Amino acid sequence: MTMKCLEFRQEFESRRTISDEMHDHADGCGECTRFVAEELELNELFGSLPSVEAPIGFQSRVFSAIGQRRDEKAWFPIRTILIPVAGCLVLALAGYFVFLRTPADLNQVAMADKGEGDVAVSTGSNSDRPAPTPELEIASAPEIKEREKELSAADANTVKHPEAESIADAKKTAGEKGVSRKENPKEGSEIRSIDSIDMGSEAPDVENPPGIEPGARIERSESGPRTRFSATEVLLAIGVSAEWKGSGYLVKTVSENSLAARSGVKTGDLVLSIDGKAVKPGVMSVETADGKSLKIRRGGREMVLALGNRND
Amino acid sequence: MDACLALKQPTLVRREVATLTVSYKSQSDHDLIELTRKGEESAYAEIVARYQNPLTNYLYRMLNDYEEAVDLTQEAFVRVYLAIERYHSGYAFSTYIYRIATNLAITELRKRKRRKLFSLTGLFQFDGDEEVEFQPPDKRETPDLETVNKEKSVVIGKAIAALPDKYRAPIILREIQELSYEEIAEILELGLGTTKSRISRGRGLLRDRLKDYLGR
Repeated sequence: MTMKCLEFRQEFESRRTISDEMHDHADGCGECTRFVAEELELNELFGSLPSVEAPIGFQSRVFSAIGQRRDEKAWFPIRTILIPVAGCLVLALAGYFVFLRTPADLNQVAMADKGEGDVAVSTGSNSDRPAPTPELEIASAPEIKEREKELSAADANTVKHPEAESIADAKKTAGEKGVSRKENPKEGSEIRSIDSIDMGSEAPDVENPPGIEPGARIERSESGPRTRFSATEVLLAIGVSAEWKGSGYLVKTVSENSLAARSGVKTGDLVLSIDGKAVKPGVMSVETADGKSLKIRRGGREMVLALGNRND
Repeated sequence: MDACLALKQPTLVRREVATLTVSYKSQSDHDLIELTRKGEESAYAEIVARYQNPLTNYLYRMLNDYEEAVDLTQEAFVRVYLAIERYHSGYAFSTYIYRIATNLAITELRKRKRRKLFSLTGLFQFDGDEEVEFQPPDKRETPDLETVNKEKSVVIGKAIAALPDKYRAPIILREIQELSYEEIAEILELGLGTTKSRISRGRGLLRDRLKDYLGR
């Protein structure tokens, strides 16, 4: 009966008419009779719904909308070209300023501001540094080593190396006379290596120290005096030629009358720290280029030497 | 002779226009589309004239908002015209334009849902996960038959508009636009069985909601 009712309703919904067979079923089934009555009434309700029409002048409205849309469409290809092109230009400009201009700018700054508030900074592994320019020759590591060897050879033979002597003399003069330190190197002075700086009779310039790390580049100083020097720089400044031995710098030669010599540093000492900071091959942070104290190991004993305290 | 021709010309022109209009009216939708493709805007005007009222009625029943229905009908005609090159005569033009209108209506209904623009006077019922607006029947006695019929049509219209989206379009297309199941299935891109069952289910929902009006 239930199945038949379902069939009856499906049939009625699709046909909207009652066949004889359906009539027989409806006669004996009150629910299906009510269903048919409700369906017919529902149809009547649908039929009673007024038909809604488009407003007067709808056609012209459609055509004017078509005209407007056409105009917009005519501009569309231009917009589709212009927008990507503009976007590419912006990206290209941004790329130029971010990636291409920086190294060139640095070169220009280095060239333009040479000797005017610039300091030498070791760049370590900085790969994008600009190539050294002819105006500013920077001594390379082998050159520095060669000069160190020359100095130590001169010391070993107790023959005064004229330039090493001039450094020692300059320090001495500075220490004795209390000459104020220069902010900038002399205009026209050539920064090549420690032994080629034109120091004159003044003390070495701590803000433009002579020892320049391999691959160092010139940058504009943003935060005043320089505070980062390498251990080699400091040791050379006080008159020590040393070699890195894993835990410290082994003193190979000490320049006569140098600050190191006057402070008691001897050949064979192992320099462990400068101004309380452990030495290491890279750049370290000490306040001055020549240091204030050295911690050394001599014959298994560690001791701290105050620089400039001894005058023997 | 020339003067005579000149005097007769307006009549001739009027006759030509009349012939043209008559010829458009006798042409099929596909022919009119072909003529429109060739640049005859009058052919498209005939298309608009043919479908503007059915489409407006359909969209009005879908959205229950006359202004929106007119706007979307216009949009449907504009879209058809601008994409006329892509139209192919694989199926009836009526199916094509009803499909566009249905998609526009569904998009509008979704927008409404997002904006939660529902009647402030309506009550909300939930059928599955779809929101349904329900208008309770007004049981006041009204002596005037015209007023009763008007009220009935308003209530039916609201009951249809409150149907879930998936039942609303098939019900309107079937019961108001009087399209065949096959046409409805094509317009809605549904199977014939699904179309029939949705119509049946939609009618069932309407019967339940209009119980107070049925058998009065």
